[in-house]
Order: sequence, then structure tokens, then C-alpha cells
Amino acid sequence: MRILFIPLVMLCLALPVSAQERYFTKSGQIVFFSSTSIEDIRAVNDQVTSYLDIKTGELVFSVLIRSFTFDKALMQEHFNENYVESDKYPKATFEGRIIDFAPLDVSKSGTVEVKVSGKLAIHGITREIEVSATLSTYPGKITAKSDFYINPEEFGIRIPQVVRKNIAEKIAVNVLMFYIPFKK
Amino acid sequence: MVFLGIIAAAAVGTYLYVFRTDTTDMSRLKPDFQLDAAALFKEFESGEADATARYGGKILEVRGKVESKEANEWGNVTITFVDQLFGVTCTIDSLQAIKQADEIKAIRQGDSVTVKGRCDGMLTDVKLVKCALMGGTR
Repeated sequence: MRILFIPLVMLCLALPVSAQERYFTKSGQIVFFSSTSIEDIRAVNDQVTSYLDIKTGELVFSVLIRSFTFDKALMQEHFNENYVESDKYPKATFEGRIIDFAPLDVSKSGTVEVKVSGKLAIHGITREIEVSATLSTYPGKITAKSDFYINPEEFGIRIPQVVRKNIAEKIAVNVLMFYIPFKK
Repeated sequence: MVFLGIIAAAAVGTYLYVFRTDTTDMSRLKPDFQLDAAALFKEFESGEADATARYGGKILEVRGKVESKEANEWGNVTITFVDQLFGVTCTIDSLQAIKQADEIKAIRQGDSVTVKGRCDGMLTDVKLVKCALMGGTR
């Protein structure tokens, strides 16, 4: 899937379709947050690449694991080296679509609640997920927001027993994207 | 007494480094590699897995011709080399961007600049983060 992503994006963005149908960002933000009685851990990635097709509802995200920034350098190191093994699995991706999608009217300001379904790949493991999201349209911009939980163990992320209580069983994920029309 | 003072300073220094390293102070770190932006992109384009293994997580000092310069919604400034979509991007965090505001303001498209940052890998473009401008020539 990792190998396919670049050609997929390049193909989709190169196709001779009206640029106004594809909305794009290279600075999308994903935050994940783990809260336990022992400590809170928060990591931010604002280098997310994503596109949204407003005719088909197709939605693709690509994230570099190393770009998650933690408050403590040592925690970031453990995350990369021990938990997510970013040298083996440098990226996380999501490929899916908005369910029951009605083409967005970007000429009007508005907000719509949607459900997104697709394949989420982290740490070499792919899972089908379905999450809720809010899309807001403004002139020249679409904002997408989604909050959901993931279970790290479902992606083969093994938390050592000695720190198991430091990390929540379910990690809160917050996605915030500001899409603009794709222009080459 | 002086000897104890040195030990104490070394201990505090080590603690601060290990637990409090401000990984954003890129201008102080020695680069692992120095290369040209176009060459870097070509390496990733022809063998992404190998290039990611070689450069991922490393500090790169990269020189190239500026394609564009943009501030984004988070107050970070991104300098793009080679191509707007398929090139090398270097993101300067908002705090660093404030520190180097004058230098950043002076950058024009086509200028040859040198940046130093950590390479996180490649999405559509090769991504350098926590960047600092190392000065350049026109």
C-alpha cells in the first residue's frame, strides 16, 4: 500500500479533470492523545497530506510517522523506535470514501455531518474503519474535522508491560484539515 | 570544589540534553548529510525505501533554488524546492519563523538558499521539518 500511494496520488492529481473537484492539503493536522491516571501524552503532526474529491467523496490521507511531535524528545524516540517502528513503517495511510456522499456545493457556506469508511494502515497492519466527520464549506476552502479512537494493539503496536498503565487502551485521534482546490 | 562543580554541571547538562532537548534548535546541530535539493529528490524518486532508510530521522543540510515560500494555517513557513508538488519541502516552525523573520521575508522565488532540517521521509514530496535557514546567496 505504501508503494502504491505515490503513483495513486500522482495519477489522481494528473488526470485531466476539473481542478475544482479535487481539494488538497499538505499541512493537515492529526493529534493523538492518551490520558491515564499516570500521565497524559499528546503528539501533533501538521504535515499530513490529503485529498478530497468533492464529486465522488473519495478521501485519502498520508502521514509520516516521524512527523508526530511530542513534548518530550525521549518519548518521541520511544514512540518511533519501540512502538510504531517508524524505520520499518515510515507512513500511516487512510484510503476511503464518504458514505452516501452527495456532491458538495462549495459555492455556499454550510456544514454537513458525514460518515467516512475505508482502510487505515498503521505499522504494516490495515484495518477497516468507519468514523464520523464534519465537513464545512466556505468560499475556496473546505474544513474537515473528525474525532475518534483507535486501539494501538489492533495495529500490532506492543506496549511493554512496564509502561502499560502509562498509555491508554484507546487513543483519542483528532483530525483537522483545511482543504483548498488543487492547482498544479 | 571546582571539580564537584564540573561534575554537577555535566550531570545537569546531560539531564537537560536527554530529557529536555529542544529538537527545534536545528541551527546548532551538525548535519549528517549535505546535499543539493534536486539530487535529494531524485534519490527518493528512484528508490524511496532506500532513501528513507538512509535519510529518515537524519539532519540534512540542503541547498536549492526556491520554488515557493508559504505560511500555512499553523503559522509555519514552508519553503519548496524543485517542484510545487513533487519536490523537497522544508517547514520552519512558527517560533523559528519568528526568530528568522527578516531572512525569511527577504527570500524570493529563484533564490539559492541553504536550509537545515530533519528528514522525515517522503509523501508526495521529500519532507524536511524543524528547519532553520542557514543563509543563502541570490
